[in-house]
Amino acid sequence: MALRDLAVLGKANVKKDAYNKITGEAKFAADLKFDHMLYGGVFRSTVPHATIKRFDASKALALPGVACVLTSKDIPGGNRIGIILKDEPVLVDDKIRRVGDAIAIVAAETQELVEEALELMEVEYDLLEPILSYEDAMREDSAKVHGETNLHMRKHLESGDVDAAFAQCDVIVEGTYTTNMLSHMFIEPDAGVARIEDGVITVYASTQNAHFDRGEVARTMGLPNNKVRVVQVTTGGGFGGKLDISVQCHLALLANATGRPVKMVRSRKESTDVSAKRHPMTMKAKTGATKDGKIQAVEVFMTGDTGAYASYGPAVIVRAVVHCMGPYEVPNVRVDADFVYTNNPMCGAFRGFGVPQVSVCHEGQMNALAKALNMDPIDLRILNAQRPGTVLATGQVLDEAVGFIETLQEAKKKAAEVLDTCKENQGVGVGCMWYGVGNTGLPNPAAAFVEVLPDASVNLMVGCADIGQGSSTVMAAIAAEELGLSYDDIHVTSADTMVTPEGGASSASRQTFISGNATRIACKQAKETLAQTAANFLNVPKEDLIFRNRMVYSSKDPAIKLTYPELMAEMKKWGKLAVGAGAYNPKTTYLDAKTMAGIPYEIYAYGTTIAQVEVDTSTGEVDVQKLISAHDVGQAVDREMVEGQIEGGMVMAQGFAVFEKIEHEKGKIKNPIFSKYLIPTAMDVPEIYPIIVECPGEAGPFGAKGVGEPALIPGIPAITNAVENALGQRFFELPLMPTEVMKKIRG
Amino acid sequence: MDKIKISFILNDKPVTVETYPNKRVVDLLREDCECTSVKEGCSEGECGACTVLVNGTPVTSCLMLAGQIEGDSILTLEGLSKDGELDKLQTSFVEAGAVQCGYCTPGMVLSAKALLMKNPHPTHEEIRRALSGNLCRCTGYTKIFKAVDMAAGN
Amino acid sequence: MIEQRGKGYEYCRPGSWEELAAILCKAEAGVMFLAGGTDLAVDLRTGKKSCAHLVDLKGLTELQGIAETAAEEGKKGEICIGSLTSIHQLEINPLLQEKAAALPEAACQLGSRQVRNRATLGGNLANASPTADTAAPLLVLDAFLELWSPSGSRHIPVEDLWQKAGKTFLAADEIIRQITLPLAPGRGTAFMKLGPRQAMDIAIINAAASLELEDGRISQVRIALGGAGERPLRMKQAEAFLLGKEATAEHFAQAGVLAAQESSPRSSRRASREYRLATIPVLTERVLLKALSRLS
Repeated sequence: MALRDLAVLGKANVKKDAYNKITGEAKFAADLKFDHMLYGGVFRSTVPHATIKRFDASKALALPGVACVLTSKDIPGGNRIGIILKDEPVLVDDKIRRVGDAIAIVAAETQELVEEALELMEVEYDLLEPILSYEDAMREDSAKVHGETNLHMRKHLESGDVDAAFAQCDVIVEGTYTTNMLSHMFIEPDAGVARIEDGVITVYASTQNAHFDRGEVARTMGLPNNKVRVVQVTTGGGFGGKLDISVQCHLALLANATGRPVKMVRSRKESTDVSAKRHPMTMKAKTGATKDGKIQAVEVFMTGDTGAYASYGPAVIVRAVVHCMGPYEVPNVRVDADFVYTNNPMCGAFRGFGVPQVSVCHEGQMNALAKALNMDPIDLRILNAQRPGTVLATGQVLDEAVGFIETLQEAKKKAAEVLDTCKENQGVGVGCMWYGVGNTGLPNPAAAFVEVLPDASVNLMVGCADIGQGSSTVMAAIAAEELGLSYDDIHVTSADTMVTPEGGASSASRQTFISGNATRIACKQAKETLAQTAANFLNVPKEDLIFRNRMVYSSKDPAIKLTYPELMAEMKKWGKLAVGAGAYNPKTTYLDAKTMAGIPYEIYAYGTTIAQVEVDTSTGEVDVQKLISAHDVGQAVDREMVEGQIEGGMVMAQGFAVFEKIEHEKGKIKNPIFSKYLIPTAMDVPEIYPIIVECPGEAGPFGAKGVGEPALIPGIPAITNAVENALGQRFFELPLMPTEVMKKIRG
Repeated sequence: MDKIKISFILNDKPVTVETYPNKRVVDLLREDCECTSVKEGCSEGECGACTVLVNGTPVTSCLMLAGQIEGDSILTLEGLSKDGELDKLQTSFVEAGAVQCGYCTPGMVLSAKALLMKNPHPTHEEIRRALSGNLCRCTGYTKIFKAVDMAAGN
Repeated sequence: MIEQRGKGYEYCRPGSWEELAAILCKAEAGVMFLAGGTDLAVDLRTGKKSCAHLVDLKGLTELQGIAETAAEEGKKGEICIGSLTSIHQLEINPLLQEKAAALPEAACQLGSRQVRNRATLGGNLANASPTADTAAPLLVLDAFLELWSPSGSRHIPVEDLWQKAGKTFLAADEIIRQITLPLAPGRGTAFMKLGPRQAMDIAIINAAASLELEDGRISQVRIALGGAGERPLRMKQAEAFLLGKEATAEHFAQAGVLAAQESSPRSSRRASREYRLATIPVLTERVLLKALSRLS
């Protein structure tokens, strides 16, 4: 369906990082070693809410081989960090707000000594009332986690006349849905190394956003941005969990205090305990439609717990509000949302920023509506689907790049082909999603530098962190397409703050779109010089030139041409350099403070999953058997990588729907390790059928959108709805653990 | 505790390391033998990232103590390619798009290698079973299965 | 760089019984035995367990292996399994697959392939987990254990091994040397386990059964459950109920209800007592049906 004739995009290229990873040569943070390197560790609180009465590290300091112990008093700069709000201390000063807050850091000659030193540190607390639930938090007389109120953020979206619309509806369905706190469980625990080189503090870290880290480290150290270098090393997965600061600031402090390189590697438990989690949310929804199935109104009230610190909470609440009616045309919408601070584990970004949670709600509602209307669930969705020209609840009018209906149709077609006729206790479910690419109603630019070298190979420098999803491969393909070179000609350097420009976070499925556009703009700039030189040489107008497959030729007469090496020789002759710098910021507006009207995103991705499951009604076990997932990605940059995202997303969706859950009690996570927090194994994987739908628009590079988070989302409601279909029962709470399913079956 | 000398075969070469017998094999390989392809993900034998082959069978090296490998033959990912030539599994992982973040990759490849050494043409079910001790959070395993199939010529 | 220091225990690997006896006689307290180490290595590292002397048994190579002793006049045949035989060896052993199917069936569902290569039968038993996957099969196979200590050896039925979760009746200097399975040619055995994940999962409940029929009626039956109490348990009331009855799904279902009645599962993070009680009948019935299917 690709509308463009492309030379590089839409095929499968060997990932830029594949060879290093398959030989074991790729160095992750924990693999780095420097001369005279120390090891670092963090002394953490074991209580959720308290002030520190006494802290004593004298025994630890007396241990031979311990280089230093630092507390908040030793921070040369500011002691507050945070992605959106600066509310988290690097080291606790005023009070402890969660289990796992960092009280002190230590550097020592070996990892064993670090552990021994941590055991020797002593702390006494004055306990404060722990706030552990939304209800706790909202009580007027409850203790306050930050400042004067525990209400972290309240949002309201309104369009049309919701009350009048409900009064006219023939059918109204209601439901209250709950999703749990979840953990990313990237396989590489957070790690990093810091050292001082030529007066610059360099931090090598496992991270999703080197440039953000730079700013946080610089502020903590009281240094200008250009005296801090953050290098993203090979990163073992993130899924949003490596957007917050983990080891970076602590490492910088320790390296600065000791003058020696310091390495920190978190244990699995420490990583899970203190990295951000997925927000648990409760969503109360009311959906009204006419008797022929046209949705007239949606009302949602949602609450969420962001835990002790905001992290990406503000982004999650805003995105959840904007997306909670689903990918449908809804003329009248009212959404209210409250997120609170508690002393629970910090919640932040996790693949989808609240959209996975609300998809459980809007798709549960669609399922209930289809049932109430006795309509086919896919027909109902097609009838109400967003399409070109749809006016969203924010007032934004959608352009041509809306491929939602195509995803429904393609998934349905595949289902007819591969799904079995349902036996007893088997069921089929549909789940859909939409996803605005990039940050919500906020600027989020990215930049790229490019240089075409004398031999027609290319250096491309992007800030965008490749955490395994393949962004460097995507950028290389986009650069090759734009410059008319081959994929192998492009070398990508990424996420090194001394070398590459700002790329923003590898999150919000934004890098293909935003860093991709920046890359394309940079390439166009370099091409401008190339084209002028070629035009002079070939004696044709530069507008007529086509750059493709390492050739430059006239669109009027392909015989008028020169090869790239010839062009570069010509460039050299005239003293021209083919360089470009590009930056892109999505065309969005800030959202209205009262109604949230505005343009939250420039482009939207769409997806539909159809799931087939079988439920063992004697044990409550859910067997996810088949998942068909169709995604409108605009333009696939690399088909194999898009499929890889969809397959990985579907299996994560299976975990979300069926067995993943962070259990916490009194602010403490009870299952921080892989033997207790179960993620799907190779034995659990269903048959997966990824389908790529391409509705390219003008906004993305060659029409590309994003797929990282969309890949996860629709699988969750599809599985839930399939279980509902199998059992004829509605489910309002995830995960669908055998124990919970049994309770439902037994009434 | 005293250090002892431990001799074993590492990637076809005999080595002797002086270390504490209770040092974990994952640490021994990473710190004393420079085999940093051996990854640590959980320290409790659940994720499989630290998988190495001991006498041809996959084990999680975070659960083994140095004293336990005396005289054994150990294979890590560093030893899989011969004279710069990649093993068939390695090329098939690349070609099938089975590598994303890469942290599970060394252990995954070695589990697959152990399978193919014993069973050159495994069924889909046998592949799934053989890899079920190696967690991957990125790929959904599907392209990894495909890679093993490709290497097996299935 | 200061060298890494060893954690506070001495490691040794005796190569003979004499050496082992000497070590045990010298070390007065704080001895722990290392078999596969798949649990102990983690517990020692995290500090959940500690010891002064860690005695690695893998040097006693005679503790590994599976052998059959053929039936003789007046004596049943038996299969002897060295306590340090790996779980993987149980899984792939043709002799066990043919004559004691429940055990390899359980073995192949224990942990991951990597863990099964290291973990041992003796270790799994001595660990005393109420849901140890090899426990229920050994109970229905009437296994008995040969225990060894410097003061001599003794034999006990496997069900006398466990006190409660994490605790055995083994003396501090005592190890399991061998596991013996008496053979019963006309027997069908099976194992099943219930857990949310398809691999690498600790069972919520696991179950094993063994059945023999005579003239269409049940002449011998064993049912054992893990997760139904503080230790792996035989379900003797359910067994008594079935004895002499026809092997029908209905009877098996009734036996399952009895099994639930004689169980006292606890609520844990993994599952509630109620859920365990609700699924014990199901798993009992299913494992009996599976054992029956192996009879013909």
